[in-house]
Amino acid sequence: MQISTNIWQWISVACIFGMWSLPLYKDNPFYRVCQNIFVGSCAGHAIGIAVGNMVKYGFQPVIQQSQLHLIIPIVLGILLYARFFPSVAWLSRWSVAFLVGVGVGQAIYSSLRSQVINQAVAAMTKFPGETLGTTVNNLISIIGLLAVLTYFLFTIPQTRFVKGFSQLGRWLMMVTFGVGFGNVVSGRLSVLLGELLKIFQDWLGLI
Amino acid sequence: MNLIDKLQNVDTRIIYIVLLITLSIPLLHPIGIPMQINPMTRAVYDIVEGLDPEKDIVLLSMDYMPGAGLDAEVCPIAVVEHLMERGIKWVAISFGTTDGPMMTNRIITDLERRGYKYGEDFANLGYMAGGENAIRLFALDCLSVPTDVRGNRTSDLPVMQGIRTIKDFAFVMQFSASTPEAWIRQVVDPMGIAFATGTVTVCVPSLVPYYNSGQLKGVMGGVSSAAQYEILCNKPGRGASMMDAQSMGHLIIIFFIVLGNIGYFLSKRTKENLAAK
Repeated sequence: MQISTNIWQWISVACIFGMWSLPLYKDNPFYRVCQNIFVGSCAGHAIGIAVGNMVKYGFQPVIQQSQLHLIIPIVLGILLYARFFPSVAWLSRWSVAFLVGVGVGQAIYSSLRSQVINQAVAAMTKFPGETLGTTVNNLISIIGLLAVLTYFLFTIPQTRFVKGFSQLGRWLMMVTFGVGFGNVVSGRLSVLLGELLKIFQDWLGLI
Repeated sequence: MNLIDKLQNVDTRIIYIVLLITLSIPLLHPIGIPMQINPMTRAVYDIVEGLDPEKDIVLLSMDYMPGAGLDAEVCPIAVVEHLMERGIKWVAISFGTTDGPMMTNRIITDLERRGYKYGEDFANLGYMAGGENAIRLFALDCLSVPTDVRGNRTSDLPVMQGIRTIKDFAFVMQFSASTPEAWIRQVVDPMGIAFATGTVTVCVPSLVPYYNSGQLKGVMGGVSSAAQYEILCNKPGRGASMMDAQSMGHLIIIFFIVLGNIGYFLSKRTKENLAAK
């Protein structure tokens, strides 16, 4: 066993124990201190990076390279803060309108192509497939797709056949949610394992 | 409270302590539970194996934060190790989180300690604000990032020579704690680049349709994928060392779920019996 002499490892492990003290014991000052350190350091780091970005992509090109067209986005960015002054709050709507317009414009066409058309094309599988396994997989895939879509068909009466098919869709979704939950458990365990590795490997030197 | 009620209301602190003990033992004394290689992970490995160290440069979009923990960090570490072993140069940039450059620096610090050269073997271009729009801008003009995190001019970096648009990169991979739809929308489909993603375990099911449609060439998800990747590279690292503990953790969770369900069905039967009387 070789305990780390790095002060940051000690602080890091102390914060881990501090965070664990909430579920294992109850809300306590040690937990609050660690929580505030986390929130404060995250906020400080984000502000530092944001200011750096404004300098790197905004002020430096304008001042050093005379890229005067960048003044427009800088002004629009400053106008966002007008909402804090009631008399000129309406000015912030220009910036918001610009952001919404660009965002929607970028997303509408590309979302339709990438997440609707291309996915629909991918769902049109070859039948029969190259092997028996592929054929069965394709069959499950297409039946599953139609069953789940049927579950969300609210415009036709749920007669005997449609009801049975939509029930199949419901079961398939339940399986999907189960897979999702399993992955959540696995992911959370990985985070915990990371903390344990930090304790056993980086701090105590046991591994 | 009788036994049936206790089965349904196990104190969460007991579950946490049992989990901590169960996960710690295999970490300290690995059991060596065998694992299978996922085709989506193998696909990423095959792409990296197929790259030419003489001319190919890889772009890594580092979009995960420290809060995502080792589940997000092990995949980029495994892939970067593979890239370095093969002598393939790479460039990192972040769009999704301001923490990305810091996470990249964690990897770079270790590489520099081992003798690799910043600027020649790899570079960290930092964080570019703007989300989806920034991704699009960078894809069309990679020199729109004026300087890297160390203040070097991007166009002067040896690793960036010959890079103008994203098409000049042989392979692009995003590492994040979410899903890469923005990349697929703005770069993968319009520009037809080879793109894969490494994410946290939670996000993997939602990415399978993109892998099946060919929009993603490979998917890595969390510790298990990283462990598989390390095995493929014959370099067991942190991912592999965690897999025994991960498997034991799953068994414990299954045990508690079964326990809770036994309690539920027993209490249901007891209530039915009482109602019948």
